[in-house]
Amino acid sequence: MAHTPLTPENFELLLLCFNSDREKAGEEYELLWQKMREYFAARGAICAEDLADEALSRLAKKYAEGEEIRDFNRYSYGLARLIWMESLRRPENNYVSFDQALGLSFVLPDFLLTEEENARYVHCIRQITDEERNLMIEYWDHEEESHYEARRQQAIRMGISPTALRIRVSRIRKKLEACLANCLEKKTPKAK
Amino acid sequence: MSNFSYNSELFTRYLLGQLHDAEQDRLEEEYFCNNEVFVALLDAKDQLISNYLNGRLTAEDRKRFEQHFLTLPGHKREVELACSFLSPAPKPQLVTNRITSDRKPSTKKESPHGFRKTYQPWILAAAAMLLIGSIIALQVRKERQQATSPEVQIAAIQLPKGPPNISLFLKPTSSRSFGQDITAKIGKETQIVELKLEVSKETFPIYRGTLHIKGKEDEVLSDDSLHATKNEAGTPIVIWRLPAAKLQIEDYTASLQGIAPGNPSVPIGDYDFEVRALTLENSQQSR
Repeated sequence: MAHTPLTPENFELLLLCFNSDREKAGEEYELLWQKMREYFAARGAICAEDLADEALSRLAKKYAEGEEIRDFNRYSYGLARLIWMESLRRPENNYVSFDQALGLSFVLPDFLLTEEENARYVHCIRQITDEERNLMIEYWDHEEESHYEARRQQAIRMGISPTALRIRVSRIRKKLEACLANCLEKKTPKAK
Repeated sequence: MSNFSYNSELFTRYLLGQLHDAEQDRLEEEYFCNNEVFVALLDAKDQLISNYLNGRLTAEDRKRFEQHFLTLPGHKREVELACSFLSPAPKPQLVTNRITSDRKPSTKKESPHGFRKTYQPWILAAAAMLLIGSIIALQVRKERQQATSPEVQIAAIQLPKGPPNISLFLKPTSSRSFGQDITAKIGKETQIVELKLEVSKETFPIYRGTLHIKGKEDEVLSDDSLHATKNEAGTPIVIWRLPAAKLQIEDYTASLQGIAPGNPSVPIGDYDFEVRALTLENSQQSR
């Protein structure tokens, strides 16, 4: 959870700053959030998404407060570094180096996923639209040797940029993850 | 043009946590400032996930992937979702210019979204029906597999969690004695099956291990970087840690070869063992 709340007003101001076209501004916002997330994930932050939320909330607040930001990208990078350093200083965060961490063997759904877990995936895949499902299938299941080329071809066929394709995939993925988390929450009884 | 424009090797090293600090900082600054570089990084991430799911990573990279990449909840979810869309079930016929072979991609200015414009609504509906049908068919197939396949769906019923690591001390098949326990009982939470392979002496600087299902030629796993050590009793052993996720309920043979620089490899021995599902019954028997 972000310590700095992102107000609707600050959010709107930030979008306007990215681009006057709201759709394009949303894409820029989404991409920046993903950059933040990858930055924190590369450092092993379990709460990489929370830190990304915090970073964007602070960025929006700074801009709304009138701070002069000449280069949003560089500023965001500096902000990510600052938030990371702050995070390291918090006593509740006990980061373990990756070399000390236990490896997690991925369990393929075909083999050891329970029926229940499998049913959740099937249920959530059914919740997205046909178009979204087609997009995801084509995104992952292709004949090209590299994903880079496959993305490029898919984006050309769709008449959008590879970046826009990426954003759409990311949004669909978030929908699916939210559905899975919701299913899990319903299944897990809350502690009294 | 950026030096990072598309460098999949560099991106992969970054994702596996193998870049030096200065290199990492440079790449991160670059992708913050350049969307194309960032999108290329995300492509490299998808490629890495795909390579892992298809068993195309080296042993070293696979270990790094599992130790570094998969330990983050967000990444693990991404891998699981990717796996869902890489299901072996037959895919619906997508109505795209790629499949309707005679039609070239639309380049008309009046249809900027050429992809959508080539669809007929009824074909979309049929594709959706096929997809749902294939998902249901996959479910039915899985249920049948559970009933008949020797691969036991360990977690499908309430089974013991099992230890995270299982250790087996194995002698070469030619010299194995009766009563030696050669069964790895894998539970829901077992991650590593550790083989301690007895060798006559620590002759070679390095050993190569290959794993086969008994009676089959295909190599399941291999590792060229095994070393000999001594156990508590002073017996020379080679330790080989196998990821439990890669093992099925089967009888296996692990073959060991000694490697000396400049010389052909020398067969050391074959070591037989079994992988079984840990059940309430057999977990009590072993006490």
